[in-house]
Amino acid sequence: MSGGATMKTSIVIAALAALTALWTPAAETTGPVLIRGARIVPVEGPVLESGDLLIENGKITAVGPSVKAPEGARVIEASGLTAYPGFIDAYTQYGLVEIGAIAATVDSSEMGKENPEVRAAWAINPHSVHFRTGRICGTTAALVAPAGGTFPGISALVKMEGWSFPEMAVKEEATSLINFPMSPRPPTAEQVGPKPTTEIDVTSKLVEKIKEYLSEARHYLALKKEAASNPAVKAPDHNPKYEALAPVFEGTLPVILSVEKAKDIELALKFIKEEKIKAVFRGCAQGYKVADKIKAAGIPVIVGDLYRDPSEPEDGYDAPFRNVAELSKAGVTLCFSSGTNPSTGKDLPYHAARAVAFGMSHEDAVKALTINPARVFGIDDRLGTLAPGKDADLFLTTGDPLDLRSEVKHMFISGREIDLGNWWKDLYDKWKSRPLK
Amino acid sequence: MKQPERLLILAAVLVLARPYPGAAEGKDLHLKNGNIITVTGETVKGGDLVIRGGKITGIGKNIQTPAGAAVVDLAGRWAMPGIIDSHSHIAIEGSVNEMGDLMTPEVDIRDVINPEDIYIVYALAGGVTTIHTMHGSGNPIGGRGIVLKLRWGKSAEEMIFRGAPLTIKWALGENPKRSNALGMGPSRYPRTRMGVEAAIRLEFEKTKDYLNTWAQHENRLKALKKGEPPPLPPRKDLRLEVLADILKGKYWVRCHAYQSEEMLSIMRLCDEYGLKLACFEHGLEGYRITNELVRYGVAVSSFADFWAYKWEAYNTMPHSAALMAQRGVLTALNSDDAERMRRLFHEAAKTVRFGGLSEAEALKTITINPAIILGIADRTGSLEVGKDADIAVFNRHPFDPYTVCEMTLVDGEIFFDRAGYLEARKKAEEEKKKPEEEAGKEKRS
Amino acid sequence: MRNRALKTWPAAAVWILLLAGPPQSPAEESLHRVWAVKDCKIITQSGPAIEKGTVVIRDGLIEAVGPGAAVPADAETIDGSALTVYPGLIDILNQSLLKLPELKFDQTKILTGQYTDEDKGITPGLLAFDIIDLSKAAVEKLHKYGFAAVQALPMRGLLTGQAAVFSVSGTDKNQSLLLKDNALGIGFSPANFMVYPNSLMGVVSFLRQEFSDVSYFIMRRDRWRKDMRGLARPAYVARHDLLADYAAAGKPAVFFCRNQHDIRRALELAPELKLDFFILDQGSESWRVLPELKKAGARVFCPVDFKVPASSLHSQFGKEKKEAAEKELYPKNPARLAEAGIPFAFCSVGTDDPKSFMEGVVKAVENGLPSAQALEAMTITASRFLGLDRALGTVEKGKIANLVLVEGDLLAVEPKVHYLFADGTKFDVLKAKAEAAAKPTVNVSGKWEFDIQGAGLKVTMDLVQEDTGLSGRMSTPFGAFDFTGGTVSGNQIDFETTLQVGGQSIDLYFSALVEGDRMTGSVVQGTEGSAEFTAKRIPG
Repeated sequence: MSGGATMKTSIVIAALAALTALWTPAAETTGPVLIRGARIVPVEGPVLESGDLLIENGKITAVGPSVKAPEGARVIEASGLTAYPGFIDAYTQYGLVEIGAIAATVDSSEMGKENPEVRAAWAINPHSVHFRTGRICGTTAALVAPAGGTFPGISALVKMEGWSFPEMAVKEEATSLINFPMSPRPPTAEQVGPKPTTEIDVTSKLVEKIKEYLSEARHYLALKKEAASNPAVKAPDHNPKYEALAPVFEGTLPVILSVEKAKDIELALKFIKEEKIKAVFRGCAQGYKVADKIKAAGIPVIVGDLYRDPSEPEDGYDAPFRNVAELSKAGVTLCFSSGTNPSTGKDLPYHAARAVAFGMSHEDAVKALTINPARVFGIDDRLGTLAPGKDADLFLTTGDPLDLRSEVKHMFISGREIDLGNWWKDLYDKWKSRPLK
Repeated sequence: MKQPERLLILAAVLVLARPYPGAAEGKDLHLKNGNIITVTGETVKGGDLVIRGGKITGIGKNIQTPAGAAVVDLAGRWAMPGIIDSHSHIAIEGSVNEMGDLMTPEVDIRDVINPEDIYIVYALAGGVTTIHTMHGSGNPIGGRGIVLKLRWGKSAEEMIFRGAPLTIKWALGENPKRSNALGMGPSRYPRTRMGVEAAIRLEFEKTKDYLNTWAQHENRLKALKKGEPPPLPPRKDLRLEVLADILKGKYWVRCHAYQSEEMLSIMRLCDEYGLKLACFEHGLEGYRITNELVRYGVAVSSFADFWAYKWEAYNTMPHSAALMAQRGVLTALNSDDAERMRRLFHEAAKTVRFGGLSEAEALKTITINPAIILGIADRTGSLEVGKDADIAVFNRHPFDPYTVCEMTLVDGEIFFDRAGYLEARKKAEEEKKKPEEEAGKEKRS
Repeated sequence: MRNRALKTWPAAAVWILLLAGPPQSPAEESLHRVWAVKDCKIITQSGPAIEKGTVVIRDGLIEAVGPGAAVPADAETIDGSALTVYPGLIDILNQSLLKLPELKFDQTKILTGQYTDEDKGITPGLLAFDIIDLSKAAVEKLHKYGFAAVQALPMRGLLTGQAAVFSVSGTDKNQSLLLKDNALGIGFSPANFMVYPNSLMGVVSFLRQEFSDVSYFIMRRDRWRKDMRGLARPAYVARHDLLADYAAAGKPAVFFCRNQHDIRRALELAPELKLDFFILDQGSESWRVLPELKKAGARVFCPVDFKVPASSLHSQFGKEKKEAAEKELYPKNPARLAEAGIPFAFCSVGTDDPKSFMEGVVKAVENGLPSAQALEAMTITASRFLGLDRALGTVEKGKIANLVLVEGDLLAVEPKVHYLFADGTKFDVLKAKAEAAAKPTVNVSGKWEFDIQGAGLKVTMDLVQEDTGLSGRMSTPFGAFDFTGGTVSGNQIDFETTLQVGGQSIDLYFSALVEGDRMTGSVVQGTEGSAEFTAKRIPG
């Protein structure tokens, strides 16, 4: 890179550093907070048309039609507002990408194909502006996933607030990831030359390569185990990549498999069965074509953002939305995600709204934003519903949180009320006051 | 049915929904019992709209069905003016940028309209009826754009919006200086915003010289004495010819710009050359200079909330469009993207949430405002008697989170109909299943 | 305009025939031999078929045709009782005989952007005559299927070069030449590197400026030639001088149309550029623009590969529908042209060899084109399009002795051609066929140009095949990357490369099927996406 470019980049970085340093995280736990007279949607259990919710020491300690405020509690009169558990964005790159076009601010994709050992946890920037802009529509937690190659690494599940990464982390190692190969799309340019006489199944070949890699890793782990108890066996040289796959083989670390086409989904189902791994699908644009098979295999699906076109024209213009509605009807466990651009993370509930417009039930959509991802990532003991004992991660909104005309008025993460200000609000407050001339 | 025809229909079945029963081409229509969002006037709840000869001839309550008109029961659905995307890049064959030279005003999207682009169908299914499809932003002065009505299935010629003013694309900032394309192809002057502006100035100086040369030639011809051989004319440079027409104000200049300062600077440049800018494209920092934009009289065609994908798109907020509109700037929302084009109604709703634009004003950002920017507001952009019957019908208010576009009409003709689409899809899927079932049966037996 | 072309072409032909002069080497002796094909069926194309007759060939010409034609005493006779005599077929826009000069790309060009006209595809001075290979080995393939004449035209780039017409008599090209520089190729596909024009709209603008400049060149040249006194010598531009023959003298241009939109584009542009023209319908989409073609009085070169263009909706709705269209819809293109009364000649563009050309012709007949019209499209119409209908295209007295002697039907996938006459030279096709060597095995070693669709990317690949192993180097605008560990199995190749671009590493997995000098396959970039590609061997 030329000197000029480096200089330019460093100026941008300096500017970014200045921006991201502006805000202070919420104050440490204060005293108890009682939210009074809100419509409470606990997600599991009946909706309270008017109820109270008590927060103490970062946890929800009571939810009911009428909860007595402990002494010294701050009371929020919330009549006219609705309380929801904070939304969980099931696949993002918060804290890994600041400005897509500036490589220096991008930490999402490591070089090479196989990096199962790299961890989002090592790189997440808790002070990215996108955490603040991303949460204003109700998102309080997000899965942050690395993205490059076939084995991108290990994702982390974080809250959208904190002084440091360890403070934000709900799970430092949430899932492993495999980018499953994608079958070729139809050609988009003019065809030249003869057409192939037979179909080449590139996808299967690439799946074979993934299987080979996994088999090498298994062999390595087995050899290492053998060497530990048998002095006659020489232990293999330490390989962090293979080591990182051990919890995947043990079934303690789920794997997110990105898939799109129906054909590839079927290949992936076979792959999961053969490899005996705990898997979650991401994407699944043509999932509706094989919904029963996904359901039968019990694989949950993280749907990609719904600001997207059909995977193939023959799927019909509404395929992305129809897909979610039909997967939902088939009983597949769904999670929503805002995708790889953290700057548009706030749109998470709007993607859910598009699915509801095309036939998903509102109730299922809300579950796919809360309890479903909590279960899929094994954090449902802490997040996903409004119930005593759970983390006080919730928000109060003026209406239906899927309606982009609603506004989140209060947000709590780990029991602390969050400042809903952000970069946008700073700009807005400043520039709306420029005198008109 | 002949085999080729069957195939044609099979291929088209998922894109081209069957028209509404009885709504043959050119037939008059009576849309009944809906909520008519006129945009420029009051919304008529429980109202009717009559279309004759492709034009709106009546809006109101309890209108009588004209003789021969087909009736479409809106059943409480919402009809709004067809959405107008004043900055699109679909329906173009080949590259949207001519990157081979720095200044390429001679290239013309009109020469490369692709009426077969599937994204036309997707756009129609999002309520879009008119687009301005443009050259990209790779060059300080790029190519000429074209306004199309999305008459799917018709030829390129038939899609062209007759009488729409000519447009030319300019671009400032990171794209023409190729900030984000390091290592891709040869280095190219300019690499700074200074250079971009210098290059534009140089081009207009060249154009002035060119015009002078021709003027001198014309003068020599006039002064020619009888019997003298006429002087040789100068060479015709088709690039400079367009630039000359830009100087003469024959084109509406659409200038891609993000940063407030580059916008201020190019406005000064245009003043110097006696040019008029029609519209800034994107203008994500336009909210900072609303006073100046209003004074100059230039519109902004922007995004609702797309940002942070590059440095020049960082200093902005989703409140930007609302703030500009509230402070008097003629503001439109555009797609610049085939996918975003099919949810412009959703994008417009964001200006209500961010920046608090009224619903009425927010609707204008995707209808009458882009129509004004394109110089076609006398024909489309609102539902008014006498205007083209370009209409999008939604099952709920277009800003409702669960709204779905159900029908789109261009010049009174139905080009998208969700009911027809669903029916066709069902049929196609059943047909596809048949051979599979038969094969299954054979296996079993 | 067309009349002008028709008038000038035969004149040129006659001139060239005169130039051919007396025989100079033993190879041409056959030109002066006399043959009589006896008792054969004759498809004259000039009138009804003759069920049993004689054709006499002398000095390269047809001396006599008919039931009553006498066998001259000096003639060697051929028993034609089991044979049918057809006019020799004409292979229009032949590519296989041309050896295009290699384009040389190096890092300097990419970095500086200093490309030549050749790189841009602006090569009106590239003459088919100069780069054609008419060796015996090259033309024998054509003989097997009844081709006795070819029009070859370079087709790379924008102003692609000029055509030439030959009888494929296996002699020196000067001896077999019929017409030289008789048509100009105009393509719409821009170069895909940073050079002007690199977009379709840029190509259209480029053509407008170029032909405007040519008119300017002609005007200044003619004014100066008329009276040099007081006029500065106008600049000489070789390119414009070449194009002046087309812009002013009425020689025709062939527009290479990749789809229906290109056809419309050409129909609009040709009058604007003041060019007499032919449409080469590469996308087999004339059937979608019949009224426009009819209105313009267009003449069409009609390929028979029937590939659905990617721009067509028929190719965007999944494999099944694309294949259905390819099988049942696009092969009807010639029949639709015939029904509409639009003159067309078949051409071999898009087919790899004469065999696949004939397969395509048979497919056109199966799809509704009357076989008589199919034959016309390869004989009399083709000769008329070349302006050679006085000399070629029928079996008539006085015409050039380009004839096929076939057992059974000529329009067949494997016609049983016994003999072929080109310029009166006899070729014993049946015998040559028997001697044909076994098929060579696939060997991909060498330079290939990969065209990755969708990405709009062309890369050069140096492949080295050792038995079943494959290694090589991929040269891209971002640098060159070596790879090893690929495989060749049957006619399939597989290999993987890793690109380092801007600090990112991109893995590409290539898989392709090889057919001769072409391959077709897919490239997958992990989960990021994938694309189809085609590749052509770069000669040399």
